[in-house]
Amino acid sequence: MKKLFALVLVVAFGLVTIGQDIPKIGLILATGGLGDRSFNDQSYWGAERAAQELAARYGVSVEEVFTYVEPRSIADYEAFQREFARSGEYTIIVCIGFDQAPVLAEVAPDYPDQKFVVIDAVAAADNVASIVFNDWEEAFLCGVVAGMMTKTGMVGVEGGMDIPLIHRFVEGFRQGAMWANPDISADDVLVRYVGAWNNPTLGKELALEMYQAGADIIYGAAGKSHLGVFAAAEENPDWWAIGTDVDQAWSAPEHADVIIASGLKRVDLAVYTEIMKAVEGTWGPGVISYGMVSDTGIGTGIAVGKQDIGDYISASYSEVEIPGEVMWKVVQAVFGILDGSIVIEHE
Amino acid sequence: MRWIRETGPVVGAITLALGVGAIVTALTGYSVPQVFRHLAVGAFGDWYRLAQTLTQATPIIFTSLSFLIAFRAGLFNIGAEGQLYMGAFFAAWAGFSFQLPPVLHPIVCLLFGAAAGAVWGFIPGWLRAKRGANEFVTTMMLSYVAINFTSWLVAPGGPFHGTAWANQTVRIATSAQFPRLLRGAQLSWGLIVGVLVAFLVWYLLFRTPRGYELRAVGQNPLAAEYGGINVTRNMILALTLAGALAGMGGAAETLGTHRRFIELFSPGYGWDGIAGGLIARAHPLGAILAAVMMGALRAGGQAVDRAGVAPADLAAVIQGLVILFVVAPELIRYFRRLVRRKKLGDIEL
Repeated sequence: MKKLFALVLVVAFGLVTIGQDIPKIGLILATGGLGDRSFNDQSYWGAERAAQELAARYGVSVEEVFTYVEPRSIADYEAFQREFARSGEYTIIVCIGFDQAPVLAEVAPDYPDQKFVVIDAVAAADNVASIVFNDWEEAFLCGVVAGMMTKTGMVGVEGGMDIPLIHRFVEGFRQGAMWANPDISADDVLVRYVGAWNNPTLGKELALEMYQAGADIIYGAAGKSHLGVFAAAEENPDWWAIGTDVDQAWSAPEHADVIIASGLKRVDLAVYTEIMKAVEGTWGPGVISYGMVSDTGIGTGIAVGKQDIGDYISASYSEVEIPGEVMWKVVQAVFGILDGSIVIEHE
Repeated sequence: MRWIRETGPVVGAITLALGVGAIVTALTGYSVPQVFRHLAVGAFGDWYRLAQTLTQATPIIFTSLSFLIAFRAGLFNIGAEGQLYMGAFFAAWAGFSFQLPPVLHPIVCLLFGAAAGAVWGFIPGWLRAKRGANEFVTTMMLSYVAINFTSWLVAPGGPFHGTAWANQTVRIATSAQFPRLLRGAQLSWGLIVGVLVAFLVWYLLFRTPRGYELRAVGQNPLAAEYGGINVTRNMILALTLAGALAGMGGAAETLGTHRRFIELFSPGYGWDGIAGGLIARAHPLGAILAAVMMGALRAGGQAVDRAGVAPADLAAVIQGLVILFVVAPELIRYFRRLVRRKKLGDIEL
């Protein structure tokens, strides 16, 4: 009788274990794709970190809890979103990039029980969490570094596309440079748009154009395309570059000699957090903002210098020496943004 | 018997191509059974997967028809990709600009797409017939013009850039959309229109005097001319029709699959049409089957990619092998005939 009871217990326990759903993450990247050492890669790292933790927790391989796809065109988004949602296998589907939002707003209502996350734009649906970042904050801090470090008094910014999302970077950067260096006028900040997220060749050409026009520091906000800015900066010892979203002196180490700083946009943190919230059952739809002055109060900043300073300035792998007065100016900018004495125009 | 003689080599070539694909898969260190299982399940595994295959096949039906109608008239339309883009954009334009009742609206959009594609086929047709410009070159070059032109139209700063920052137009009116055939899938009435158009093309080519003239021009332009057929006019007509067919394919993509024009939406459907037309041995009804096969490879490839059993590139290699094995013999045969005809022509002159 005792044995039978034990057996029943074992069987029952087995059933419970089998019946317990192992969570699964679906990730649909943006068209820039992996290898941009910036936005897409960082999104992937966030999901991967969550996947590794879940795999360890449930004793399965990472592949069993994590699937990702790299769409080649905006036209592929709908098919991938539907395919992931339809399978019903995924605890949460993470859609990277503002251009997924319009079609996600149409797809999501067809799968009311599926949780979705979209990064960088708002998709109005009851089962979508829309994550937006104060991009202008990281851009402003990068502008401060550029304004302090320029020798020619002229700097540049290379955007992926001529759209409001990227205008935030451009405007933030311009205001930061002008705030830090009163000798810089709005005209001294050159702007070029690549028109694509995945064209480093054109990105390099446009960067060379700006360098030759007199800019000695260029900030890249163009996904994979602005890897071309780094390549261009390598061609002259007086040319420098600033990265975006992640410390690119670390993610693109072959260019650590020209990247003086990088804006930080913790997409990885947002992706990881949304996934874990879905797994723990605390997930909810709606708009969540990240940044220094936002709901969460975290998620933007700058990687510059050799040490972490507070929550918004992280050490960088850059090989370029940053003078103390530059660091001090960045610290002042952070305080200014936090206490409201610096208001960044971004619309 | 003729049926077997015609399809036998195609089936053989596909089998051979899959065999070589298996060897490549094994040599690159991926599991052959896993890759092929996902390829098959991804293409035909359930209703949704089948719908995905047919969704991918729909534009290829049109572009295959586009290729083969020109091919029948002795011309090479390499520009279906560009004609597809022109058709897709102008169908979208008619879709969001006009207010029309449901059934009429998509028909109008389809005609706009066909007209835009027709213009893009007429230009190289006219250049070929009147000026002798090689249509190989002109159709292909015009493709890039069309792709970049439509991209510009919807890029930031372009006149039809949508509201959501992405490089696409606004959504077309609900009245203009092709109804979808399966809930939650992108498969739409475009497929049915494609099949109907394939029958129409078959009827035109094989049951009308006009079709006879087109084919006569393709088989031997000198003899056709001698027989009183206007070669110039038929050449222009063939490429114009080819353009219209590809344009309708683009329109079907816009009206059914995406419901808006998206820049660079085509993963190469126009180029697939060349292979599709040749695999079908330039038969309009064969084009349907050829397109389904190509669509299956594309849908299966996506599934292989998503399942993570192999990179999407490997699926593309298998697709490429199938096209190579099926199409290469056909092309060699064509060029051999071209050379022979040239020799005959020399003798006649």
